[in-house]
Amino acid sequence: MNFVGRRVPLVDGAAKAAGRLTFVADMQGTESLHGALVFSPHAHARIVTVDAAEALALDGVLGVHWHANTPANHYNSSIWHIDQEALADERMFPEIARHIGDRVAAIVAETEEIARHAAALVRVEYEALAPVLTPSAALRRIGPATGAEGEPTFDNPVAEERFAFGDPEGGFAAASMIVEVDVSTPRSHHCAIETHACRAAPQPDGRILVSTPCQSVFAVQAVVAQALGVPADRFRVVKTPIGGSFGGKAEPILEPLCAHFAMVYGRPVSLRFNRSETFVSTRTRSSVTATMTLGLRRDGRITARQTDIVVDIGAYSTGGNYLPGSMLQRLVRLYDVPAELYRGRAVYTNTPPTGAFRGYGSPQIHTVAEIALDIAAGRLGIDPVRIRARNLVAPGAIEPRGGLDLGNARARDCLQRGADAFGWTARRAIGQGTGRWRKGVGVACATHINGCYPAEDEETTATLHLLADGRVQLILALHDLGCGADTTIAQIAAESLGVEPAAIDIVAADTDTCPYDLGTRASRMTYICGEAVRKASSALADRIRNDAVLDLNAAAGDLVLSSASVWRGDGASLALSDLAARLVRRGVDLPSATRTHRATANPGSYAAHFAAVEVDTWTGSVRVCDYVAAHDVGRAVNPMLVEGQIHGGIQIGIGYALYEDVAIDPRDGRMRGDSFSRYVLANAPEMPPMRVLLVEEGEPTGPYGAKAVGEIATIPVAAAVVNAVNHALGTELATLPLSQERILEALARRDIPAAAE
Amino acid sequence: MPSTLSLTVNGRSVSAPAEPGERLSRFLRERLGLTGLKEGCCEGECGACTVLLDGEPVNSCLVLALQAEGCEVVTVEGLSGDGLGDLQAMFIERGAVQCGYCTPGMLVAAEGLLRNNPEPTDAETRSALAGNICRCTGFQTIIDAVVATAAARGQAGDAA
Amino acid sequence: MSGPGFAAPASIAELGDVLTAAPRPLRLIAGGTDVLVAGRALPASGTLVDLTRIAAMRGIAVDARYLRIGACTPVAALCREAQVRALLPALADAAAQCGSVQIRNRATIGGNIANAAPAADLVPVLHAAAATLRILTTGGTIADAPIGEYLPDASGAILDVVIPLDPAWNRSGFAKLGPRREVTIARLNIAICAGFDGTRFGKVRIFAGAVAPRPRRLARVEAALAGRALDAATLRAFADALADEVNEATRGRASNAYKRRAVIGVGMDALAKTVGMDCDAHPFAGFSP
Repeated sequence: MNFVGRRVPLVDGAAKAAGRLTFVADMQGTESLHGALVFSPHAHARIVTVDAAEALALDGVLGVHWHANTPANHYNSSIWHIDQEALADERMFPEIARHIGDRVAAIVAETEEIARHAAALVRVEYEALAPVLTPSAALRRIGPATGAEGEPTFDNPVAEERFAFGDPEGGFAAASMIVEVDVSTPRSHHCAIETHACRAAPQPDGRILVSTPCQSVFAVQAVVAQALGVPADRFRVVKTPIGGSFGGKAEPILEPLCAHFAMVYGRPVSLRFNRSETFVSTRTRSSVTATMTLGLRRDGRITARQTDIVVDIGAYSTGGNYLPGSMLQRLVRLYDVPAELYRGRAVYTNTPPTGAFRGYGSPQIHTVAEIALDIAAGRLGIDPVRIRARNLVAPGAIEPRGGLDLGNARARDCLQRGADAFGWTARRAIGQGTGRWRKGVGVACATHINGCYPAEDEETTATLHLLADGRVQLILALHDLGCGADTTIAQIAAESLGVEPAAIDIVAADTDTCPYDLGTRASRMTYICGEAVRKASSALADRIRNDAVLDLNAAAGDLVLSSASVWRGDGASLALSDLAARLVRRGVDLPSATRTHRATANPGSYAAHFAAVEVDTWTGSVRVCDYVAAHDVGRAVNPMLVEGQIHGGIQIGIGYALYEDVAIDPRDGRMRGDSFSRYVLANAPEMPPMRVLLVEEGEPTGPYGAKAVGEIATIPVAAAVVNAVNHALGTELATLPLSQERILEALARRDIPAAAE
Repeated sequence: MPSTLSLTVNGRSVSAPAEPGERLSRFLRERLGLTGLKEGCCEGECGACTVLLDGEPVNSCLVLALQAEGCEVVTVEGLSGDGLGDLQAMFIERGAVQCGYCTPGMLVAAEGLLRNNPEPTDAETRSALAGNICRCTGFQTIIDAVVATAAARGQAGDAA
Repeated sequence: MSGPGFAAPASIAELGDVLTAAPRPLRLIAGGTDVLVAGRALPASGTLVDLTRIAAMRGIAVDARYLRIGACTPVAALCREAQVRALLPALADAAAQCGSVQIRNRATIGGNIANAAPAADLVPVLHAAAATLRILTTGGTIADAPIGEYLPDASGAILDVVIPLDPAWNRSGFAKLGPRREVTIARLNIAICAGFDGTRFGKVRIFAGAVAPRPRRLARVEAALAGRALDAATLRAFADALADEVNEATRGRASNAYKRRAVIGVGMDALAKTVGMDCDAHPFAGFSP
């Protein structure tokens, strides 16, 4: 292998480290107008009138936009392609605000300062409506999600998923112990350091160019077209560099507004949210309340499992109606459970909307399942690693819901190797200690998908061209979200072509120049797009060898590509740049290759994480002091970037376990954690030393054996940390995050002296 | 009313107008076009706007531009000469850069640390960067890169 | 949008002129780490007064009776200065735990007082140390006020913080609890100034922050220590008094039960520092709260 398996630095690393990469907020130009939004201070209210007279009187203000003067088309911001049918309950500016932070109006002005100043002067008359602020209240508002005309009713449940497999009744009857556990997870936020921003500019041909840090240019195009009621071909969407997304930028939020304003004023328009706006008016990870019941034999074998989960999706459907099904899909791919009962319901509340966040349902459902399993292990008196080893799926397992082959599923290898590296048995045996500080260790496993097969037509097309200067251009709508996907893909392309990854010229995703692709989501980038690129680069390599036959006077099969040259067996060579020049002179088309990859499998990626914690029983503070993450990645195309994904996933997961919560007040719907000072996330001193083990047994359907890692990296973390805290304290805490309050409450409730032996 | 602000930025004397309420971050980004530093929160929590002000790391979002009159400012653009600086190169080599949005502020904060403490420990480095939030890397490679740069500088200093 | 004007007086005399004559409203800005935080609008008119140009408002001076700290002395200098660490270690500790490096480089001791956040880290220490503020009033006169009588919005510009030095108060300690270890807003903090001869306490002053809008003096906790030997009975009385008094201070608030329990941990840490024990070495580990 030339490049696959190597720690290749980011192809765009130098631009990033120099501060020269142009993010959308860095695109400047005095010709650009700016918008600022007015947000609802009510969780549920009819917007009666908007009085912007004072705002409009300011120098530099061009106009005000609200529901009365803006296209009233309903849309769903989670659609992936043009004219996709979905529960369309959003509007650019709704008549009824459905959460605090909902969009009420916007001011467009010559500068951002003027726009924000003017927006603060807008007077809005509201008619308050009764809000639904908790999932339990939501479940009392029952009815079909849409009316006779398909219009949204905002009744619940938005979606319900039921599933039964095997003989649950018999399974529970055969169990030696039945354990029922309630788990709830918080509403968390992506906290990408780049806040949401977008720019739209009219083009000479009358179309609108939308430049946006997004996860799919085609989804943006589709949503903008649906929101504006304008044919999609009037919009060209180009992806800009992205300062982190984690799913938060998967759904277009500012793009419809920005495109609309650019059309209205015929000038470029920039919108950028500040931090608190990004908290309250974009997306969050849905919270869940779940009851999981496990039937177990004395040896730890699961005989049956029942799950009842309610997902609070917030004020708009977006893709939240898929979540109960997604969670089920992820749940049944980890353990070999002979009998399963599942009911998942998604409900609307008058709280900020939810959307994708690194795992799309997986972090919630696996947190529920892994905490429940640990509590069950505790009650059974079985070691948490042993109970998992007894139930984990094996390679080639078939999952019960869709009958899919899970591929080379190396969950057991992750568990065993991780436990060995962590020193599980010895550390578990040491005990919690006595006195103020208690020690604990915890484990959790997880699985995640590789792409959207079979729910979506999971295919993509890659084209590679040899350029006249000897570099190779890749055309595929790639959306690197900042984790180095471009580098990984360039390594795959470079592998057969024998050029440096940096010599692969990756064109930014662009609806005008790239074939359709689903975008970066569902952990599909390396597994799906990477395989298309592998096929195309292999085909281009063949073309290049054929085209070099004349010049090197050898059979194509005897030529080798390496070091940006074509080599003959005797050491004679021709640089690709020279070959390209000769082909151009001869009037021969430069070689190119296009290959489409259509996935017919969706193997599982697997992980086992191990956390050591120290808990201060006097203050409720938790310190995560050591961490091991073992991951089945099939094969690491770039181990450094794989480790980077896992490290970052651990940071988000520790926050999920211990303090991340947007903390929506159940009395008024206000988000209390709407800034970085009130939404606590792990900073450098909070992070433990992290060791990563990669299990590289190869996935036959992935490029060079590779599978996904981006989302699974964060999925087991919270449960591993919670399980460690429960081990340290002898508690069964299962309400996240484990704030100092909750820990002290639990200790007080048990009424044990905190320093007792 | 804007006043004229004169200061030294990345070793160059500059003068430009600034409004009384204008933040130094906006002044540097919009008046001087130094868009390397980012605004991530405007409350001093994320550190993406970190610059050196008279040699010390500060959040430029919490400094009024006019307060920097006569001061020396170093932004990420000032860390590289003809090529990337050693700290920047080490960040790339160690995988300490992912999306790149926190990176400019992180680099400047780390440079500020190394100027005050040429041999920081892992724990000291974590404390010094506690006001810089990265959401991608989990910080480990960043800490490694800073400590490794310190070691390399130490060796270069010993050799000289 | 006309906006406010900007004044950067270079001396206390010039500051006096600005305070008496500049267009209102006045907004005093030193480090800016509170005033410029997103969501706190600057006034649309009046005058922004930059205090950072006045050399006489910066620096630390010690004589036989007082530790004087210029109001615009950055928090970073308080952690760095050996004299502060030697004379009032609680202040150096509180300063070291105040925000990030970036914040500490800008934030000032005067700003921490004037901003009057309930969770301010330096202020409980200054209360425990019985600091006096020298204030330049908006009328242009200079007045001294004990920190307990300072009214943030009405008082004018703080020029100096003056801390009395009395050998009878030879020890101090500070501890705080936030949701994370560093760069964290205190949910509780405790400052202690005391006389301690190695075994027995003399006089004691203790203040808790973040339990009420302003630092709260814990008189019964002081009484539990004052004049007593550092032994198990004293620790028990100290912990019980802490829980009782913080319970009273936070009565009716949701965080009550949490703070009542957590304050024992924070108080024990502050006490450990006061008597010179290493907090990382798990002091008082045998105690049961």
